[in-house]
Amino acid sequence: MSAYVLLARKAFRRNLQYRAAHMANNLGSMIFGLIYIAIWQAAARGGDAGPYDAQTLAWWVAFNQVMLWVAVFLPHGLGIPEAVRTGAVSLEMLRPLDYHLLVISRELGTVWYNLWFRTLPLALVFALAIGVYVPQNPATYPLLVCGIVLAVYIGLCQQYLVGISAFWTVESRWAWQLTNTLQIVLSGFMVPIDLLPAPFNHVARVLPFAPLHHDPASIYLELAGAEALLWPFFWAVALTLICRYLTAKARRKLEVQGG
Amino acid sequence: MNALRLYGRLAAASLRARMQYKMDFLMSTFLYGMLTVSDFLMLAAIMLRFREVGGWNIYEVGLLYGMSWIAMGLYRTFAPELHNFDRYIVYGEFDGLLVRPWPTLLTLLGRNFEPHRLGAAVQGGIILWISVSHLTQAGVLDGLDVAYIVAASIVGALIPFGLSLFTATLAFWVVRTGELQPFTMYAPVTASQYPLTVYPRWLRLLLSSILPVAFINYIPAQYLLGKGGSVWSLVAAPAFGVAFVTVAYAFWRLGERHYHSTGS
Repeated sequence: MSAYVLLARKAFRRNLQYRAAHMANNLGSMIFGLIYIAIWQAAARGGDAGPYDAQTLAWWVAFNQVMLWVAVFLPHGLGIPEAVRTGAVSLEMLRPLDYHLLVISRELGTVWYNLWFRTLPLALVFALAIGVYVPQNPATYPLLVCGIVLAVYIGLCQQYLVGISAFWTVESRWAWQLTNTLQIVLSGFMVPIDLLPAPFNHVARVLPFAPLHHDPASIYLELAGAEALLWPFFWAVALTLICRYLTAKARRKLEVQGG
Repeated sequence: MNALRLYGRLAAASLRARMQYKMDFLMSTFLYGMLTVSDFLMLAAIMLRFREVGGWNIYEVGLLYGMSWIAMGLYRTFAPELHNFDRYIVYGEFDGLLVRPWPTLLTLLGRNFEPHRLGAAVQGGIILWISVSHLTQAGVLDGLDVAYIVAASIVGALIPFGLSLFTATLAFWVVRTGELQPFTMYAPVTASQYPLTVYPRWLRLLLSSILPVAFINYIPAQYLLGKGGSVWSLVAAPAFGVAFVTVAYAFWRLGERHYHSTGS
């Protein structure tokens, strides 16, 4: 148990070294958020947005901009492709630890870091700019925590799959870029999914990208209740099974062929 | 002229090198295409739902969007190494540029030519074409206006180029500038896809002064579409682009003189 925590702690400390660079990057995220907020507010002022009025859309954008740093902006394949390239992966797999859990917990250290040094400063700026939405129903809070935890886990699993693909291909970089694009477009990050043009909204609803942004944001803004956790829960289980299956295959490939 | 011919040769050489990896070229073209389409999806979602943004209808916003992507696409195609310049300072590779008997910037621009980025300009061009043909039919624009818009979109590439040159030059002092790019490049260029009037006052000021993306499209388009501004804005846009790049280049020369190698 403690080995996993130790890995997370190390990752957290490593990230601390780059605080200044991250703050410069936060400036960009901040401007991006304020630009998107302004665009949506201008649009919503002009017409009917269904359940999304100008203020709700502003909170939507702000919440998702902040969520990016814990669920979506993860390094290429969680570092697995680099480990495969250098051969370090064989040592990592030799350890008496569960490989899937090892990689995920190591990355959780970074996520924890991002929460304090990316998410929090950005959230403060957006709070000053557009105010904070305070959920009225006390039941929203535990649901929101579940939604965020599932979003982080699903984001990590997707990136893990990109990483594990490096066992079979040297071009996992493409998988990474493709995943990143899909995570931005079909997750409800920029646009609530139901506002997307026709075929996209139905497709995006069932894919594992909506749990990253659309579902937690709907819970936070009380546009949906516990039912918004169904898809995230389903995908968390499904992705876990896929990750573990592929890890076993990758391990076997490594043992038989020697990497 | 000599410089232009030299640039042509360098670019052709890097293009040949790149085409050795055909699969890589096809995949990166496809992925970059996806990225630009995803960007368009947000615009489509907004415009189909609300009909207008800040008093601009779908074709008027399409005009801004098209011009912005043409400018950005051209810049990304023809100056890719400038975009990743801090690498040269971090690894001390800048020394290799200094020993050549021509300006460092010229060598840099001729490297790693990225033809797949031209797809973004093409996609912007398609949106622009659709928007412009509707606006012409509606009698808002005439032939001369259209010619101006096409020219201005190409000249508009000077603005992202200038922004990039400024950002890259900062590397001479702060070394790593990649983290600054969202602020100096991506966010402003994204902002330029929508009418400037939707932004709060301080952001409008920022986007028409030190991050002058308004000069790519908004300033001339506003006048052409009869939404204010004066005829001078048609001159101001390209003139500003040239002046901006000139100042950026002067800054680059200053940075170059400040450069000292990593010593390895």
